[in-house]
Amino acid sequence: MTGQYLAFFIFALMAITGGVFMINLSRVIHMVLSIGLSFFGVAGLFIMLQAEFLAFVQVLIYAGAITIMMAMGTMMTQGGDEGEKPKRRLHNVLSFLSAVLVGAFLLYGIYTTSWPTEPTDLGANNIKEIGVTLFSNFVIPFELASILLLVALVGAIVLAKRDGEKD
Amino acid sequence: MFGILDQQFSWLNFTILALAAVALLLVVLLFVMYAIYFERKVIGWMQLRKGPNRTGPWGLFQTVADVLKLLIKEDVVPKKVDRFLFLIAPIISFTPSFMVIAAIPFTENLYFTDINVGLLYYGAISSLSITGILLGGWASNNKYSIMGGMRSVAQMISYEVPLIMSFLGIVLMTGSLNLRDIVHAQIDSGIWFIFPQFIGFVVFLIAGNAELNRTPFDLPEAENELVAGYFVEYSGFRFAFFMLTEYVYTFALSSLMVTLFLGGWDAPFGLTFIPPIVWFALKFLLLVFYLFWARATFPRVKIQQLMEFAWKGLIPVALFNVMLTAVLKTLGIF
Amino acid sequence: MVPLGGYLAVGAILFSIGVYGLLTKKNGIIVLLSIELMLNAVNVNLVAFSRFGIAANITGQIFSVFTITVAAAEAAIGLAILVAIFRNKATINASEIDIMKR
Repeated sequence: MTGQYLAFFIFALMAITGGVFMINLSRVIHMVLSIGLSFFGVAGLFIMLQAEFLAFVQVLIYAGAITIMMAMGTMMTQGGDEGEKPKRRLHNVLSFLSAVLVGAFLLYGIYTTSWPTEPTDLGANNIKEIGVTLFSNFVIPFELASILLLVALVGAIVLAKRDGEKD
Repeated sequence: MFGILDQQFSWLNFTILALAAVALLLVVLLFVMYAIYFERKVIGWMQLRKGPNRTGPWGLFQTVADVLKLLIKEDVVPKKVDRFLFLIAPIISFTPSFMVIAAIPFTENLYFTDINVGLLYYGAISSLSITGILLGGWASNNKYSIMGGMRSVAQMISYEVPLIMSFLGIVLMTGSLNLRDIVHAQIDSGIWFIFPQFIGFVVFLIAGNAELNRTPFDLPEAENELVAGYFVEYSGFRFAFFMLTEYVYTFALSSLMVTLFLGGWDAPFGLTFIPPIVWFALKFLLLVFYLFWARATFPRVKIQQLMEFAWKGLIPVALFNVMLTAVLKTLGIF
Repeated sequence: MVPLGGYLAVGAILFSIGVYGLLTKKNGIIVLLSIELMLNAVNVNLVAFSRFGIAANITGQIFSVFTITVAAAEAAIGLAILVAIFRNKATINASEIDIMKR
């Protein structure tokens, strides 16, 4: 067993246990923390795939920003918390079955297809290549994404602000 | 990065990695111990006091005694806290602070990883600590700690933006995120980035100070309004963990600043007979002294001033710096 | 080397967990998080194919960059909407936000 397998195993375990705990824990803030673990595991998988830039963007945006934002959101929306009173047993069972079905279908597809086994070497310093491609082939999507972010920024402030508040 | 990972997994490799990490941890802990002593002495002198002077010669063992006291204290967990989060929050907060040090090259040969996205690594990993602070404040089930935690998050997220933007000028100049490449670029061109990137340096200095939650930006733990901020309910070694986080970040951020702006291990004026690690340490101590100096001389700002300063002051200046660097780079001046 | 199937399997499992959370959880924040988890699973696939695919190149990573951007915008807007709903109805329980049904 090489260290790579071990690392893959640990990161995959982190990603999946984080997700499973999110489903099973009862307090919302614990769920948010466990999903943070999951995001971190995914970032680890990105490193294994030679996507260091993306891995640390993932840590910065997901494990850092989104987890914290959701934790703060949980704190601001207390009272809507821990109220799983009406037990929709049938609904839960059906949802579980459909999720398992989706997963099984995907896994069946993955294991019956013969994938290319040899990885392409993307180069040790592919961050430069990402930049060049982003600003040549994908420059219009890039600009659109920046506009989207601006709109989201302004929109979030407008939505979350109280009505009739000055300033 | 996969140098050791690619080899067959063996306990020898594992032991080597673990021992290197433990050695670094000991160095950092030693630094933290004497940084606290140094800080108290410096502030004492500036306020015409003596500072700690009873335990050991010149009070040298004062912080050792303090640490021992913290370690053998009872680990108190208040009754109404969210027990799991309360226990885990200091660890979440501390671990990233130690992880970021791995990216910093101390000399030509003394570095832990030669990671090609070193700067991004620093920014990304250090943002994880905020989660620990927020959860610690929340789990304590105390209004002062939750207020401190919220303030801390707002402040650290706001100041992270100018902090990362102030890197960008350097990244534009060198075309690399690798910290070793950045130092080599400074050695090759013979000029430290503090001169061509002076605006970036000033922004970094201020934003870094705020990122460390140190005076004049220590709102999250403002003693006279919030008791002590997010760690009110903590005592013993869990409190020590939060303190440790702060000082380890002081170590990491000062080292990063030396690497980015002060030429890393480069010797100025051709004084190469002094070994590079000494140069690194000297520059590093200068910046640490600056942080203590600022703490002794500046009054604390108000919370709205703090936030306005980040969004209306520092971020436009940092953006202007990026634009200016890009224009000068295009014109071929840099 | 870990084969491509390993990464794809992790992606598929994460996606299924996301689907289950999306269908059963009532708290709005957890629903949002489940969506993020599904987007993450997609990202794993994109990045895995950018390394292993038939015409493997950097484009897969670029797609992931865009996915992350959109996911961040979505999280911010979603949370702002939830905060606004909470202010008006004092709940973010998805099964109680049913004004449109009545």
